Amino acid sequence: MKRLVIIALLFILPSTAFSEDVKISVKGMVCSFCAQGIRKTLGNEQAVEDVKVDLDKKLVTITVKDGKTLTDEEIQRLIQEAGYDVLSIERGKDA
Amino acid sequence: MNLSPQYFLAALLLLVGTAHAHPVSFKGGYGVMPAYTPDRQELELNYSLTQSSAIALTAINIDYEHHTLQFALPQFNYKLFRRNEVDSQTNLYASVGLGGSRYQGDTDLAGLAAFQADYETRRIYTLLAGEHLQTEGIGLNRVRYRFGVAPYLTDFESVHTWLIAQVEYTPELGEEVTITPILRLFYQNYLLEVGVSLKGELFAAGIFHF
Repeated sequence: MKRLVIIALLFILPSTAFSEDVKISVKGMVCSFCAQGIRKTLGNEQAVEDVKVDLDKKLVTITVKDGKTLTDEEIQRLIQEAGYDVLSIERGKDA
Repeated sequence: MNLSPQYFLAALLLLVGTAHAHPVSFKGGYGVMPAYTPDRQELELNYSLTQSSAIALTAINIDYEHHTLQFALPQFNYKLFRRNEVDSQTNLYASVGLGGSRYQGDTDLAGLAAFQADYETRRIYTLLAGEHLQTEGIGLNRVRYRFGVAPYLTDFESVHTWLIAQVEYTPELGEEVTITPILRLFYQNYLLEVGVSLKGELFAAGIFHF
């Protein structure tokens, strides 16, 4: 029985997805246009559910959609396409 | 604050005249940049192919020797350099354009070469820009320097205000140096600048990104 539960959990858990918050510290984000460009570029990404910008902290927080992933490399590429550089990336569950 | 983008854009287009402050935005981004002074009206529409390059269409009207000199220029803008720091951003842009001009009924080939260097923090903004417009028998130069300060800091969702002093040097256009205090209002992807030069001439410009 225990084994059955474990096997069932192994199947269920991957599909029980959690949305994930990713906090990105961005270099060069000093104005509203910068923030808008970053918000638009990240917002166009399929895996992204929401983008929040904190100009004071130079912080961009993205919520990744349930069941989707966005790697650090993809985030770096997107931020660079908006014209900026990533200082650091922090991840945390927001289930 | 809830501004309708269509209303804001229509208002900016009515002002018509290019601040050239954002020759390149973000990959896939569009820019509309009108600017107005009594002696020069300008409108640039651009599309950023990458974070470093943009194609643009620019229309310029200049009051030259009591007649209107018109330029219509397909243009290429390139970001030669950007340095992103935690609290600042430094940029160097170059632009080239080739198109046509119209002056007193004559149509000629025309060209544009321009550069812009700027440095910006959340508190300070400074810009140096140069431009050369050339057509048959007429060459026009313009150099602008700007220094601005933000009197307060606020978040992305609020209106940002800048107080800017602009010095413009246009050696071929009679009154060579124009000094203009400018008020800049910035809300998300809308930017509006209004000023009156020390000669009493209106200055208005805008930038709209989408």
